[in-house]
Amino acid sequence: MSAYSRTIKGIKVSAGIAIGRAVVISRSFRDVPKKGISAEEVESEKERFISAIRLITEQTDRLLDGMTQKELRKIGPHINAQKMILSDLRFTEDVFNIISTELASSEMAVVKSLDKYSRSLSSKEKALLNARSLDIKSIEFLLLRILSGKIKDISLLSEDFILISHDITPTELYYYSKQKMIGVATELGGRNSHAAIVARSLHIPAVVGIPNLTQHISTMEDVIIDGINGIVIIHPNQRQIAEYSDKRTAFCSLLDTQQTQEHNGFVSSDGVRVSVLANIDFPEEVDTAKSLGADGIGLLRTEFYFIERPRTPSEEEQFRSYDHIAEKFYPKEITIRTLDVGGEKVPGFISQQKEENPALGVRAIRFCLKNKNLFLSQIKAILRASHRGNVRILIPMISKMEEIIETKRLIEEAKQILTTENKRFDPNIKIGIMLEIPSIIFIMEDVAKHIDFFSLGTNDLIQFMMAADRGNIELFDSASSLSPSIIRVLNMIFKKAESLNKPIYVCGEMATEEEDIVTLLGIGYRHLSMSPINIPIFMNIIKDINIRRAEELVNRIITYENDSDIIKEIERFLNEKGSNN
Amino acid sequence: MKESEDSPKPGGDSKKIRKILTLKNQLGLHARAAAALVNTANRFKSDIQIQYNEETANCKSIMGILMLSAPFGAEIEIIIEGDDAAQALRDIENLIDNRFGEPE
Repeated sequence: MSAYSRTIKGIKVSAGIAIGRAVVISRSFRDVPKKGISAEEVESEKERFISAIRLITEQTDRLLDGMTQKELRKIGPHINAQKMILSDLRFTEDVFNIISTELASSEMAVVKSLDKYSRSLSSKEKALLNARSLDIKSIEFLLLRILSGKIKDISLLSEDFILISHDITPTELYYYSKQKMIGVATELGGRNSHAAIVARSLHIPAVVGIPNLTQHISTMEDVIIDGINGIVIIHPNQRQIAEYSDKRTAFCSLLDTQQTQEHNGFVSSDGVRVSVLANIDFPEEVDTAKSLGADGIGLLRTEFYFIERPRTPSEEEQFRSYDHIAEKFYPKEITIRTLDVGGEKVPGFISQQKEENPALGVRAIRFCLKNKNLFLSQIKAILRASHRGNVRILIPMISKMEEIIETKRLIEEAKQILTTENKRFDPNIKIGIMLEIPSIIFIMEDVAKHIDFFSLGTNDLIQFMMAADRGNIELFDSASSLSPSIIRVLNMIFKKAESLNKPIYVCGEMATEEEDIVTLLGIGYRHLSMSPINIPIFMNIIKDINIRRAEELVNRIITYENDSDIIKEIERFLNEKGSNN
Repeated sequence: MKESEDSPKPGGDSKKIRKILTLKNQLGLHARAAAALVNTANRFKSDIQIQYNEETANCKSIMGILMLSAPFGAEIEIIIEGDDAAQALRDIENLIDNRFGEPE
């Protein structure tokens, strides 16, 4: 109980909140049976391997038998593929061969054989973490767990649990979800690994890609999985548990009422209307956003189409997906942000030199301007999806004017090509830039002549202003959004945008915390974009906020000199808000 | 790409057929697609090989197919030898044309 709360950032792959006890499956057993075997043990070792395979196969068959039609359609193929790999003769022969020629234990033989396969795959696909070798890694993990006998522990659990594991296979994920697993976090994994897809379709909150996670927590200790923001909280305190219980309630009611909620928009207690838009990471989230009554999409991230893919998507594929989303939301507007990653994550673009500091490296617009074919095809796809007139284009990580001029030139070029290709598009498509690199704030007046709107990326802006990595838990205070410098810069940005007569949208995680929301509204921001799950939560918050009073609050705190005074004042405001209306 | 003779090899018997096909599904021959290919191949008595990038694999072994690592747009060659070769080729062609049942 001496352990204190610890928040760790990972990759979000499946939305939702889970609060509960951890079941930890570490990787350490992988090292246990490294010892060899004697020549007499070869046959019994082979037998052990075969029994493990048989056990998994039987379990898998029982699972498949018990599935509903819908589950079979969605998950069946993943599980079948896994079963087929396990019972592949080539694999068995390989393992047998290693056992008998090297006198290796089954565990060692499995690791060795699968290492060979995944190495061969990695070298061919040239992506650092590709879906295929991850699938093979998952199988290794499952086999080793069965061989070690540890899997039985899980099936005995009758209480809800959160799995904290080195990795998880689609089969295990499905199996554990039937055994009351309510959330999962893993050390390995990526956005598009099979397990991630299965987690999304089963609505199991999941965060992946947290190195050494299993070393920070033990079985039966408390943990929270926030699959909305990609956060794992180990040993949460009472306040965090209460806060996340509220978030979970909101999310569950959302899943229960998937139908359109009829509401009259997002209105404050003193009758001010705020437009609430959705941040979309995966196309699967579009329906949720729509059913929750979002006023549009404020940020459609396009990394999904590029990261961990075997190849870059074609213009046609991108167009079809963007167009589908634009059609769904029509006549509401959707804002598509161009690719915001560095070359190391895009297939076919491995950078020759490893960057020492990728966050400050060749990424987003810088990467796109260096790879104009890729950029042009994305711009063309976005333009083509704009033919109904409800699509905007948003450029990330702009730090200087030249980038805007060059991007606009490319957009014009794309329009000309599309005209000669006889393709429809919106000739007046609105172009906006992200305000996230501090340098751009000082030239907003000049920039405004060339663009139609601004989008404020609070996460990166705070991170770059404070030179503090928001994923670093030691620096939570340094990266606080409620610091005098941040509040003043947010105020300055808003005033500038207002005087330049340009709409400004907030699309960072700031639009989801109550304290931050009050501050943003008090400054004057009226267009907030957030993850779909946060929309019902926001709806609850805004109806109790008196915006006139929030403006007075901001007028006070903007003069304060330190974080704690600001936080105290806002908390007082939030405690009183009920009686003020 | 590589040698793609459509005629039988000298000495080969007339039941050996080969055809180059293009993968149309987004992810290429990943685990689920490979599994579907194995399922189809297993329905036939013929010996069925798949060739890509100068590597050959048995169409009835998922590991072998996975190791080819054939991506979207890859031109793979299917080589079938046996009594039911013609029907096997038709079914495999169908499977690939339908993108292994995946959406576009």
